[in-house]
Amino acid sequence: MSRAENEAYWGSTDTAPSALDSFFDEDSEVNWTGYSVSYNRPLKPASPSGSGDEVTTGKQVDPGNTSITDNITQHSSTDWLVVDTGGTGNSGERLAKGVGKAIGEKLDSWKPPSVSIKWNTSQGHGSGSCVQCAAKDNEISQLKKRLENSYSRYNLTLPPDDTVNRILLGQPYSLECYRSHEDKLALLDTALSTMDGSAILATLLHMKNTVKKSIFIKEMQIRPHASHLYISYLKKRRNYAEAIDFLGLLGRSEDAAILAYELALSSRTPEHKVKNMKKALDNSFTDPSLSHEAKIVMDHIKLLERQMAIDEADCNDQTNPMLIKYPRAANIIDKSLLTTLFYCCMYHWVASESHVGSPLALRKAHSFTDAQVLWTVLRGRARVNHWPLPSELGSWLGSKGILGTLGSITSAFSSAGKGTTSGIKATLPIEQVVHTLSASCAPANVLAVYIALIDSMETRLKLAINYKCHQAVIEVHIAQKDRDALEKYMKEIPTGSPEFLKADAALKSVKWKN
Amino acid sequence: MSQPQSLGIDVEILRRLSRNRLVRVLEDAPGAKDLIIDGDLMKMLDRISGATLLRSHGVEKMYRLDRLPPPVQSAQRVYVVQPSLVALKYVADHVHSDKLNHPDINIHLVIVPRLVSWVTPLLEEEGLYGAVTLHEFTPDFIPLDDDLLSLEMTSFFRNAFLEGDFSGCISVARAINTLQGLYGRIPNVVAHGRAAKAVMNALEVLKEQESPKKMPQKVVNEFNTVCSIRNLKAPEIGHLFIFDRDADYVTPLLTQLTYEGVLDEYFGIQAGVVEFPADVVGQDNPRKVPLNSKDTIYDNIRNRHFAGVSSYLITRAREVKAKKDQAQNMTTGEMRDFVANELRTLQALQATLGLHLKACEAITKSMRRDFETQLSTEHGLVTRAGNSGKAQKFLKDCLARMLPLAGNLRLLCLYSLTQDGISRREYEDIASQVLTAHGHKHLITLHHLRQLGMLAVADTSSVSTVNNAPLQDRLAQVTSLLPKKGFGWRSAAKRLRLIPDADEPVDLHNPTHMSYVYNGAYTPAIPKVVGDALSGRGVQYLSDNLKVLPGTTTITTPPAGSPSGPRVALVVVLGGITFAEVAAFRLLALTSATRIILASTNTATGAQLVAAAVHE
Repeated sequence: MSRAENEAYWGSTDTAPSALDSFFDEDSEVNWTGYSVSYNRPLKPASPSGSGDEVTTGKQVDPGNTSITDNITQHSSTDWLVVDTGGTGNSGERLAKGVGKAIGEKLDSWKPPSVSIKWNTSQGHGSGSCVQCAAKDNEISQLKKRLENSYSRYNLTLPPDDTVNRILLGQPYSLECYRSHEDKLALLDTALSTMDGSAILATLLHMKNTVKKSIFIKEMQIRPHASHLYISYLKKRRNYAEAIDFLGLLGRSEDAAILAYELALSSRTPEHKVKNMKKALDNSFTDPSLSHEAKIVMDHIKLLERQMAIDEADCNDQTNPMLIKYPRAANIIDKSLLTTLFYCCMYHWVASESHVGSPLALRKAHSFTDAQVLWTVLRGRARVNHWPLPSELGSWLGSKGILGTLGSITSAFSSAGKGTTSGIKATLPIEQVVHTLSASCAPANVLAVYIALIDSMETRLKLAINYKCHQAVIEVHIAQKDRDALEKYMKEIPTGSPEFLKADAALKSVKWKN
Repeated sequence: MSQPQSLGIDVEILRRLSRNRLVRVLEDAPGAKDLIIDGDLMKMLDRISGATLLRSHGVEKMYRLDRLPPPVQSAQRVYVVQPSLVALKYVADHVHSDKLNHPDINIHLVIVPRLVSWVTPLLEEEGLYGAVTLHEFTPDFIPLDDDLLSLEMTSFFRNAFLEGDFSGCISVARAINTLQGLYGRIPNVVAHGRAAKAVMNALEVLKEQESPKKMPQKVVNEFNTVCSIRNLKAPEIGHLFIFDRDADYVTPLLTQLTYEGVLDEYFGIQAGVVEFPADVVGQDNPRKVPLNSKDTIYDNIRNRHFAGVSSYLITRAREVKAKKDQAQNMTTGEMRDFVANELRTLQALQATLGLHLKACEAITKSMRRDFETQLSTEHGLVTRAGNSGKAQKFLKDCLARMLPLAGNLRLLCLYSLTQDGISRREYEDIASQVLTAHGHKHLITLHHLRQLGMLAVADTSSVSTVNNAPLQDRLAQVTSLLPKKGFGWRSAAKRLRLIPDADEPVDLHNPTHMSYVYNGAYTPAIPKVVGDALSGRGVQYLSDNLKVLPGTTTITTPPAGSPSGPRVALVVVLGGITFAEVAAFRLLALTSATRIILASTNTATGAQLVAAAVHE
């Protein structure tokens, strides 16, 4: 609009756009009357009823100065009046300062029509028909609501990608303006699409803090990545109780149960641990699909209770010679089941089954595989320089416990004598056993017995020579009827030693192939 | 075996960039200050800058972050920490107690590599918002060698793949972006996996951000000085590959057999430096030895199969000795010349050879008696030549013997993956043996391993209840099944041809095939895929092949007509690269005449990956 046109329109240059700016200053009341004169005139070209124009308000408002002047005259809208009458005349101004510049500009563009409304309603139709007046008031209040909504949805919120990118790049940001549920979801989903943990967490915590729990849960259920991060966050903040609750609400009973168990384990004393594990078992392990996990937790409780009893018995025990000869490096509480068996084999090998530390009692109370028992007994006894022979291990084989083990059927047939050795052979890799025994300084006669369990003569010979186990070497040579090799090997054996005599006797009696 | 021609790409510049950025952060707290550093960041900072540099920028005392605050000496203290709760809690406690006695003290908090969104609210909760000045320090890739870069983000694997927190990806993207700033935008990109997708997203955001008007002046200056013109030039790196570690777990789970890999497994290589224990170096104290291609002897043995290292070292030692012996017959003049020039080099060579021989000896000595059985079990599992029942028996025996936890779990995971997932019943059986041997608390560890997809268990029990479960249960189950990890390893291995033909012998000591790193039993998947891509088989073939690996793929190719870039490839592995893979890549670089630069969040072993899942 040219200046000339402008003047023709307004009839005066006083109303040039620049002057309009001050019109909205807080102290601009003085100007009202001044403008009112020129105001009434242009009402004519516009439709004074206002109802037809109100809907299109947003479209007609243009941030440019010229169009503001246009709008002031032609237009009737609602918001400014309402705001004004509500006694918060410049709340719009304040808001505009709060949000970014872009929004400030938009808000500016909103002011003029509102002012014109005030004029329209209060003066243009002042005390006209009251029916029309009431209808209009009604309409105004509805439009007010719509406008307010549109403010929060489209005018005050920055596009979600802008905000998410700001979080991503470590720039300042604010989530305050995302008030509507749609906005929050749009923000969260934008964050999820970038996969950035920092952005997702910021946006989901914003939602969590601003909506009620059931809505939050509902939205988390269909956003597994977000809920995963939220749980990690709760765990990180040591807020286990809420994480367990949340997982339960999401229907992830296994995750909830494991977390409840983890929480119980973080208790300081073993007594508390037992108590909290029992509580977790009652609260979180009830789902039938968790029967395996529940069994493990029960087993853990049982073990911990036994360990506490053992420790109580042992910590002041002055009578057990093993405890004096091999002072305990640490107490047994919180150690694994096999370590406990190892400990019991070391210190309570001879204890009666009624003793709390009896390895046999432990073996019966918990379920072990044969391999686990045999290895642990061997290693535990070796630690105190006792190397049980295969025949001594018989009582450990197979299921003697109430709970039973899977291996019990095979071992039932091999309870004693020859059966024992074949049972051991089937359970343990004997070669590895020989290595282990030798590393624990087992005497040659024990090694020889174990070496004799190996089927392959070649392996037996190799091991026997490697560990200088004369008896085993002689036995292999005799079994192979290899006189030359035996005679050669006898040079290695001290003359007169029992092995030497045995070899010597064999040379005379056995039928040799060479 | 690194390539002699550097093709104009000097990765050392990265160290300088990181150093400058660190200096800038330090200068944000001008004047004298004490530095308190997160223990996990020490190695990384060490590789970026020496103590001298720090001191020249006002650093007076340096402490490792601990529960108790160090004595207050300077008016300023600068904390350099990762965004971990424990570290921040310590800092908060320190600040509270220090402010009490020294109200004027200035506290700066530098978060590495990124100031994530929850740090500020946490400080606010502690009542420290505003009392602490926050900074961010994002290092670039740290060159461990000419062809190996690392961000030394040791907790990336756990954060991303176990906790679902991919917030480290933007730091990786920034580091890649710096490389692109230096060497031009890389035209061909293949990204595979969730973390890789997050990196791609972040790269996109950074690219938008970089349009000059949006860039802060400081950054513009930095870029102008190093790389302004380069951006306009043709790219110097032709290919970018980004892989998630969980695309291939089998590789790290197998026992490494190259010398460098074995060193990492036995002694641990941290940020390119190994610490040999006292008995290996033959002194009273352990010794730190940097391992890189500057050491010519190490460069020659690092990628060799372990079985061939000792004999190589002995041969070289004999040569050196022969040269020294020649000195016996020299004239006085020759002798002087020899002493002046050669003697020192020869002595240094001898010392290095001796050190590595000792290391070999120590490793051989501490190898398990049943190492051969372990290897044949592992290789039997991947090639399927072995009997899986026998493998299971071996695993159970290892558990009964209470061998170290990490090794046992590694074998268990390998077993489950190579069986395309084990049945629920089998899992329960083995799990209870794991717990009996190592403690019930590892129920949590096993749960984590399953979440990671490293331990593949068919979830039959939940499937049976699915029909009568409430809707939310079913939803949760469906979503939890979405990343179908570990259940198609065998077909993947077949499709990618990871298992070499058993009839074709692989020369372990003069390798021509990448599978040499695992005795010819298995080719690491990531180098194999990259090798296929570089051989120019086309995008379709590549994307079809990648479908068989867990995760989704994004492939970007240059617009038709524009140059596809030189034969230089940047391969980024998110979550840790093993030295066996590094060795395979180095062989690939030779056979495909491509310069391959490897970049990772960190170098890792299977034991370390498993340890990320271990409870406590």
